[in-house]
Amino acid sequence: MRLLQYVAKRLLQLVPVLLGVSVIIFTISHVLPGNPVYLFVGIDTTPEEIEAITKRLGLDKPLHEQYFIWLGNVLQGDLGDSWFTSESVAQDLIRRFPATFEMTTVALLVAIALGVPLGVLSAVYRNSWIDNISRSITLLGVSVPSFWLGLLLIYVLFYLLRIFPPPSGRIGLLISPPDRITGLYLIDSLLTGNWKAFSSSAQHLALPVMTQALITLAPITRLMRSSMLEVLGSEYIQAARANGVPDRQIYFRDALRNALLAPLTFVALVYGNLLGGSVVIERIFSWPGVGRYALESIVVKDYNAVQGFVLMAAVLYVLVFLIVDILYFVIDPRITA
Amino acid sequence: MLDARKPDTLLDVRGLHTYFYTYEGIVKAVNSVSYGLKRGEITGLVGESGSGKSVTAQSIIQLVKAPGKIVSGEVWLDGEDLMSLSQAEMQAVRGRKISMIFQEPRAALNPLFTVGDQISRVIQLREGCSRSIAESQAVEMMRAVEIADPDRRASAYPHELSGGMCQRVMVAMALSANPLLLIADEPTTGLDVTVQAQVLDLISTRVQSAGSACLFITHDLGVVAELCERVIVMYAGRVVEQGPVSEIFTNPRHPYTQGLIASTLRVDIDKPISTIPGTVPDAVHLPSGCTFHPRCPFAEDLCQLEEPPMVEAGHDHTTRCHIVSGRIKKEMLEEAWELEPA
Repeated sequence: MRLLQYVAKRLLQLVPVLLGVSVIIFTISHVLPGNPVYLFVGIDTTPEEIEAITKRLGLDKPLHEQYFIWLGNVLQGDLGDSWFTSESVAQDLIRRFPATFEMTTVALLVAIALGVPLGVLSAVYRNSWIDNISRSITLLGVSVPSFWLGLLLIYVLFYLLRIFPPPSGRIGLLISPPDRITGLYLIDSLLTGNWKAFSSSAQHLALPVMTQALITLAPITRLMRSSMLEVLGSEYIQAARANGVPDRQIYFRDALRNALLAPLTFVALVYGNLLGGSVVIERIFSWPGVGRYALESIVVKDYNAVQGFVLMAAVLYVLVFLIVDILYFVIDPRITA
Repeated sequence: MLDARKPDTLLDVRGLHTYFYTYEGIVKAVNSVSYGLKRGEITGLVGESGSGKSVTAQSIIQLVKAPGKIVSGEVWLDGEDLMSLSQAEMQAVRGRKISMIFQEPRAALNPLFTVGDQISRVIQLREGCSRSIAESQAVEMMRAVEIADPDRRASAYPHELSGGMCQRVMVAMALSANPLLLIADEPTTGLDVTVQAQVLDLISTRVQSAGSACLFITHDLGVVAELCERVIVMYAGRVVEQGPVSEIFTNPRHPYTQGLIASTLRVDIDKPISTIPGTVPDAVHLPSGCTFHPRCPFAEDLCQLEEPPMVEAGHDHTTRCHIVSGRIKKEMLEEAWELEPA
């Protein structure tokens, strides 16, 4: 009941945030230099024709009117058409987003699944060999640029050792993708029982996921370690020990829950960022995600596409933070609605 | 070793050394500390901040935080040398034979669990009983420490309770074990005076009725005078004087104890608030000889050169001072004190 109240309140708070975001996005795309009308005209277009196109696009109306027309369209799911792909931007994004979502979500889960225990272990066994190994891994993850790491993994694991397939996208070139249900190849192929597609898409996921996960894992591990160390040094842990609570329970019951609070915000930040697409990794692995779409749209000045992409990224960011806020609310009783 | 123990001595600490290995050097936080605690008695452990009071307590339960390490010493509890126990055996001592109450009650409770949950878990760990039995015992314990409406309070989180209420919860948790030894590390420092009195009363009645011993760490001599039977005075990691409260307060022999008592605020006589001149010495670079000599108004050359041994100063009363031992022939006159007005 308390939770429902909190969720309702947070959802209501989203409305002004998203309105603000829409104003900023609209304004930026309209103060950018250049007149979009000229994209539709040739050398021999007459001024009368230019005026007609301006009118047709609604660009002769006052700015606030243009904003409300645009907002109305956005609310109906119409982000305009891409001049480059000549399809609706919404359709373009919907088609590409699952690729980004699948890759980044798997990468994040891997990073959490490895980073949290590694951070906990290096805090519990501080300055031991396991702490040193974790320090080396995280140092590598923090200092190595993603493009270099991606290329290195391709060189070693594909070119030299032939363990993983070439960086040719989400699935083998000769294998047809599974029937689209969610757009996530792993899930769709499982749902349709298409084992060939499943194994191929899992193999194609491996290298980009490894690249992304290693880079994400590094700060998660470090944060988890320092957070855990802080909690383990706290008075209530000392008190629990003084009350005869065994170490295992101290680590996993008393300390872990408290120590998870700090890295949680960081994970949200990273995930929010990743869902906007990782331009570098998607490019290296020919991954047909939204990051590459955004990059290509910027290069060809496809304003509608860029605008739609930024709006999508902002909404995803806000949603991720909503989820994290709810998680905090569930974990920490000190947060009140 | 055992034969030297008096039968009613519950805790016997002998030659305890706990050092902290810091970058600046070795800090001898507890330096050759020996004392005994009797059953049914509350012993006050006093001294300024940094004198090694808390580390002494942490050493007894072997929970000294890094970079601290117990270097040597024996801790006999009820005929058992705790230092010879394995880690697992020691863990079984904590929360059963020895319980501890902490200075900051709210900080000593886990913020993410309800207080009932925390008490009942300690009970469940110890008794190996079912969850529901532990829970009802926890409520009973809360009632015993005079928490009103314990059923409802059991489901409260620490941040929802006052500091005094949290300390009662800690006391309930510590006493639920019926420990042989209760260590209270400045348990009332953060509390209101009225709440302080209630918590002290609670500790004192429970200790006496259970026949356990209590090591009460404080820097408040007023509390010691009221609550304790014996007092141990620590200075810079060493015990400088110990004995019965009645004896120490009327006839303090060590200059430091004299200074402490003289600088205690009193309402019955007209006396300005004052402090002992100087500060506790730098823990890494302790003064030579008697560590108190730089602040001592009676200090002579010998005090700088040679550390005084523990000597008898009266019945059941020992101290470390060259004047008391007779090595230096001198009167300790109260006029020699030049207490600084605070």
